[in-house]
Amino acid sequence: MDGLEDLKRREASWEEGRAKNITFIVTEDCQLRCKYCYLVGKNPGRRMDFGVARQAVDYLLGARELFDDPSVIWEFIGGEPLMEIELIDRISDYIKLRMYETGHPWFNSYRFSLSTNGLAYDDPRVQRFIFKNRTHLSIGITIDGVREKHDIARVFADGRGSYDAVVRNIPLWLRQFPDAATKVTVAHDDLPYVKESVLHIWNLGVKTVNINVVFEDVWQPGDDTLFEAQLVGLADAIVDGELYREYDCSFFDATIGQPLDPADNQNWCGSGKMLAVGAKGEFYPCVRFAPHSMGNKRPRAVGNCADGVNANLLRPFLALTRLAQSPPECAACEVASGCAWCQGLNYEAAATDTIYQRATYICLMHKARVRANRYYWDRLRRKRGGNIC
Amino acid sequence: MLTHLLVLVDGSAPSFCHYGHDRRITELMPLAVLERTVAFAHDRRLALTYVPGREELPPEYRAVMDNTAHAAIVPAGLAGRYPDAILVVDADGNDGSAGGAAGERRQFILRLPRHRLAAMADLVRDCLGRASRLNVYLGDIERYTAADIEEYGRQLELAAGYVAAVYRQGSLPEVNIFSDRMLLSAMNNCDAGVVHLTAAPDGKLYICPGFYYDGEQPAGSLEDGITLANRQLLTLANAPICSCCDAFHCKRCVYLNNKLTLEWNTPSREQCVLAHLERNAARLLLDRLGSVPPFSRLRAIPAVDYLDPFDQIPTRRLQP
Amino acid sequence: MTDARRKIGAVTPDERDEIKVLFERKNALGELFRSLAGMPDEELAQSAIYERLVRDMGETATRFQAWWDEKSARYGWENICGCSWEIDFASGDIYICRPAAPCGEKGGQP
Ligand code: SF4
Ligand code: SF4
Ligand code: SF4
Repeated sequence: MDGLEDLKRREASWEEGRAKNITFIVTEDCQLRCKYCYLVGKNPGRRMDFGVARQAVDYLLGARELFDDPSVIWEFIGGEPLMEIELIDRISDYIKLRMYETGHPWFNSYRFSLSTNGLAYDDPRVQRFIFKNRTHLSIGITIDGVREKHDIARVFADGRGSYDAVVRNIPLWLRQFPDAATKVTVAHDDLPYVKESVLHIWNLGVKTVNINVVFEDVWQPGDDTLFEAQLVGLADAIVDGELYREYDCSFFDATIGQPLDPADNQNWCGSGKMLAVGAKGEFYPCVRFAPHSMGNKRPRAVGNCADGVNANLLRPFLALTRLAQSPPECAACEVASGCAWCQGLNYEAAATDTIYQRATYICLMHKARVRANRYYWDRLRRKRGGNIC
Repeated sequence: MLTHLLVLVDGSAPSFCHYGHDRRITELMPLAVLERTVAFAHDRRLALTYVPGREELPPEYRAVMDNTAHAAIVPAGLAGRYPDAILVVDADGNDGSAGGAAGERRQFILRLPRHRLAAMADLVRDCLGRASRLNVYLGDIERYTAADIEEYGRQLELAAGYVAAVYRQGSLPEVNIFSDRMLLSAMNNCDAGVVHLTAAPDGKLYICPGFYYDGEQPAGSLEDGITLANRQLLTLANAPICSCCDAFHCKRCVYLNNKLTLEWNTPSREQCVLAHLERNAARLLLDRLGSVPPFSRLRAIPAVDYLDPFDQIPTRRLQP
Repeated sequence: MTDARRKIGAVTPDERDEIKVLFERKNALGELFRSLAGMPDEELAQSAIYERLVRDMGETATRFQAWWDEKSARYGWENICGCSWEIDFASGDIYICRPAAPCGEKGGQP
């Protein structure tokens, strides 16, 4: 059935659950000053030195007992990673060479991945990098939707919107990565544009839209109603136009909005299971714990490439459970499934220096999403005259 | 529920637990603060435990302290002046030979810094004859190496031999690292911040003395009471690793947790491994005492094939 | 054949894993080769890496082809002139594809 197929398609990311994710924070700088960006300390000075990257690669490939996952995704992140494309290219070459020379099993199962604001996508150095790594590369370009929405949040330092500068690169990107997906972030100001933005991105030829509302404390009274109305409008457009046959929007997911069994106690967020390498060679459980992401809390490193991973500092991340960090109302919540959190924001918003206090600013937004999902799946079921899931 | 208040009457009092400090100069809690502390405990029906230092306290301090029912933890050298107090033996030898009056059995704490680890079994043996109960607490766990952990295993084995001999003779002093696990059927941990708080000389309340010495945020004050946020994270229910563990006697030391993993509810590998060496030593000792009453009536401790419960939880790997 | 792609068989999970590793390795060797060309000498500890790589590329290509030859013979897969076989790594299903179809990057027969 299409409904289940949709779900399967969305869940099947490369080597899911089998690939270690290692992220290099190659620069903390970016051309944009997106309004929802968690990277509060953007900083043109801190970029990764190749020597640091080399030391990190040597450590990571050497510590096979710790990193024994069958596959690996080497990710490059910023700031804006493509501002350091030459460095990324050099690190990637070194990774390939060392995986091969050391006979590491990851040589037979790796990917490079990066997420960019798209401004430098057609730069010849970027294109050369794509050519060299064609079968091992995935690149995501962030477009926030229609020009109005995109330009509200994704602005240059002088306040100009970046829509035109990004969208001109979409056709080239789609030629090179026809299955590419984009990531959309929704904050308070862009709520009125959710529906048309998703439709617009599909119109641009990007068939998969991974979209989420921000976890931060930005939501105002009435936002949930507005959000629900947008999603209901989008649901109507999808069902009426039979767009579900070809397109995906992660807001609609048949598994969300159910109560969770206490035994279903997994952490949501992957921090700690991945590893981010900072500009100075520090290891973080995720980029969100690096200095440039932290507003009012100390960064939380879990080691560095000279001394290796500090297993004690990593333990709290790997031991995280849903219930140990959730307030009683979440434990008893009737619509808990699919209600997400970000460990980095939890840490930053917590009353003490802990990753074990779940921030629930998105509570009403999740509930609105659940209501809209019920509407969507119900309409779809009636349209198809069958049982979706 | 909070039921106890520890009072650091002198900030230079030697450590009686896992925490450490290097304060040698007397740092008396001001008398007015002591009075307010006693009133604070009285208002909330908290049982008082005083922790004075090596220096004799001025009489007006003793007058305030003795005015209410209380317990005390004192350097063993002061045994005579505090007839009912728990005596702390400093393994560096300052108070090692001191104790209660001849023939008297007292409660002892043997606090063992890392550099005296190799003397542990002998020190336990020396205390056994005069103890009604002996608590052994290791210091400097944050600096333990694999070799130290191995040494601790050896010392436990030796100490178990001495304890077994004493038990066979019919004397039954409790020794926390052996008998607690034998006697317990559920978690019984330190519970700092939950069951007890510490009032420090600065008039503030702390989760335990270690938090005061390390300059951590106070948990409250005598004026405002407890202001500590996220107190639920000090409880067993919110400690995912400890919730799956049966080292019931373990202190589950939130001070060490905070120091080594930066989270109150997450133990370090060192703490878990040391507690499991004790658990396993208790298991073997109980087997060994087999038919000796009352040990014959105790439930056997099951064998387990791990030393760190963290290794048993499915998410332990860096990537699932 | 009317469809661009039609299922004609399947292999076992072990067989699928075998060709997946060969496919990944073949691509990885090819892309390492592209990288070596522009790499500074100090990162190429020994130039013998070129020879090893070229030898490895040859051997991997041979093993890759041998897998398809051996499996197609064993399972008797339909063979149409101008078409190629393709495997879906998720399911282990084998397809026959017309050249116009974008079979490309799914471990297809060369
Ligand atoms: S944040 Fe709200 S919607 Fe989410 S689980 Fe908690 S109570 Fe439920
Ligand atoms: S938390 Fe408890 S066990 Fe740990 S040092 Fe403090 S009082 Fe001792
Ligand atoms: S051994 Fe470790 S997991 Fe068990 S109670 Fe002690 S600290 Fe917790």
